Amino acid sequence: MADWKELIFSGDRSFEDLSEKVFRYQFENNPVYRIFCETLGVDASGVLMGLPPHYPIRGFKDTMVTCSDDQEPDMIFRSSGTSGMERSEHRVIDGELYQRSALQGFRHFYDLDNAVIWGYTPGYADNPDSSLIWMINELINQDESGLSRFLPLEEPLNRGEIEKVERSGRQLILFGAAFGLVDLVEMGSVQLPSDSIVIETGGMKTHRREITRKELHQRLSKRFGLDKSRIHSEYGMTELLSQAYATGGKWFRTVPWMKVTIRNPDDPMEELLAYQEGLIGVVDLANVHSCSFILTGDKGIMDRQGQFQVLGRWNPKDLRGCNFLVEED
Amino acid sequence: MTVSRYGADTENRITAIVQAVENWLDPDNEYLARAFEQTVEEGYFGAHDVKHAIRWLKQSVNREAVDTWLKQSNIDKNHDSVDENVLCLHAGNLPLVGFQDAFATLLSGARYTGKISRKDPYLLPTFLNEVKKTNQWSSVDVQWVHRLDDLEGMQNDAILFAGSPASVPDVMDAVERYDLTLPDTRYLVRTAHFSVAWIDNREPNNMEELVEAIFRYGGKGCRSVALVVSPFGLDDIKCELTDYIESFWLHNPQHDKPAPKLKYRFAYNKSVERSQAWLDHFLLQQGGLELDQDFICYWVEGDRKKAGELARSFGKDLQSIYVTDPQQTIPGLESRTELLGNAQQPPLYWKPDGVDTLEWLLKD
Repeated sequence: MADWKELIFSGDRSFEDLSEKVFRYQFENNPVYRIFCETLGVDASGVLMGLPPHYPIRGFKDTMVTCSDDQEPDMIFRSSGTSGMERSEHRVIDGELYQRSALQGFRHFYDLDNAVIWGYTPGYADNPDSSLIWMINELINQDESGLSRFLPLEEPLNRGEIEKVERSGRQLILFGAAFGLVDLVEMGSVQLPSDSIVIETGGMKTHRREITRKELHQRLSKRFGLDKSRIHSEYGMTELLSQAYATGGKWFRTVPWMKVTIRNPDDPMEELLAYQEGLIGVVDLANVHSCSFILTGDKGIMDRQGQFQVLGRWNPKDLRGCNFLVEED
Repeated sequence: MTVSRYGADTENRITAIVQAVENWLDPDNEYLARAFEQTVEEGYFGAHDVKHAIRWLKQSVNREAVDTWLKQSNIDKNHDSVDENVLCLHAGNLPLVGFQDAFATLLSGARYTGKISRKDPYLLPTFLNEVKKTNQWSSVDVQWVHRLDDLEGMQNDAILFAGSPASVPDVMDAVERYDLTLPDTRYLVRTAHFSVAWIDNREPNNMEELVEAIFRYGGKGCRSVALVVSPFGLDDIKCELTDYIESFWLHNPQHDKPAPKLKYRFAYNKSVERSQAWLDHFLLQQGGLELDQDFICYWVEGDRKKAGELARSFGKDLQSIYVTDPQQTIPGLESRTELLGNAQQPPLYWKPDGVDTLEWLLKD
């Protein structure tokens, strides 16, 4: 069996080579994905034509997406949801692989060794199903200063704790979901050290309220007293073991073992050109033991440098039924 | 001379509009014949679907139907919409889908302005031209355009249109942008976009009606059945049903072909071992109710209670729930329950989104 961790993270091989190798492995070992490919007329050599089909992300709700269905996973991540809701389930066969993806990926963008990580999210013990919280927990565990931690929810930031971080000379990096951070700043403005970074992890829309990313970043920048370039975003999900980050601004960049394309919603086999809106497709090689070729339900665009924007959920306008569309004009 | 229960003006309008429809649908009406040819030649709709729509209007629009509608709408002599301007933004998913709104507006006495859909550009104007030939309506009372911006600055008392929740904000922005509203303009916005059928038997006539309800117009109407609830599983019934479908398509070949994403869905369903029937241009699938694309009809195994629960869960997305027996009821959905056979042959006075258009136009 290939040493996937070495192959994926060493940077010795091109993304295309690895992508082909991973596709062949998954075609061979993931029966769900193989059936999907075969039904679309794509066989194990399909990748040579640049065709690994992107598997609909919903598969993680409807079935077990794995290359090792006889193997006990190191961990299982589940998407959030209330009782009765379908939840995605990602069986992580190799926990070390996710750990390496999360840490090496974070280091690709940030100086983790010189950072204090605060998570304004439920703690790991309260939410062991969440891949995001697992990742934040891992980031916290890397810090030997003892300053990194999950913050108590529903409490404002403590001025004294912020000063401690400042005195340590480390950079404060605060993680939180969109509305968690909104709630936090609504408890009162607080000046963070000017080199701090706030990373929002999405969740702009809940059943109660909705906010645009631009509004959110403006509000966080104002209330934390930070330049707008210090408000970053993370794009990740239960079904992926790698993350993309927008490090100031709205364009996300991926880690080297992850690639995003924009797919035609009417024909997801087709990759759209730069600046055309479509469905975000992800190739995440860290998903080697489940499925690396994922069609998300998110709307996005790309620029010519391979950066992408997330424009919310894909919401088809032209559904069956009577429908007056202004675009017709 | 009989005394009308309506005022003289309403009576005149009824007489005139019924005559206009009769003239319009006359087999010798060369304008309609030409519009039919153009519609088919230019690929807007299949000939069978246009013929179906016209044939059905011929059968269903008459004095008796108008009387029934007025009675249903509780119209008395003191109600009309004379002097009001009503803008109808017509959809074009089915041939002549805008007919009912235009007819209701004219019947109400309001001045009609229509934005004709680019997806159905020829058929409705032939009716409107026939209306203008009567003494009842002048060119000022009946006008239409093919581009919304051609109406710029023409303000309206009421605006009627249908849209998905995702498209409604764009329409609202556009009518504001083109200055088509007054401070108190009323909107009738319909968002229902599919119907449900409860099928508890396999009688041949009901199977035929079900197939018509699903596949007529490529399943693109809000009255089209997108979800069947039945005690029979899809695997149990699909061979039998496929025979009826093939027979239907033999006489009514599907005009619109689905995008490749339908095959994508088929492949996905197969990967998750979901029961389905691939029909080349349409997909029947058991469960997985995403309702996010055309050319899919969902099948759910369940009883009448399940049918009601599901239908209610769709809220404003649901147009009608069909049954095969007039004695059957779906608790809580009595006003939305209709006979399956009426799915693609609705009476003149059917209620889009459960709202009587004429009654809405006439209310103060």
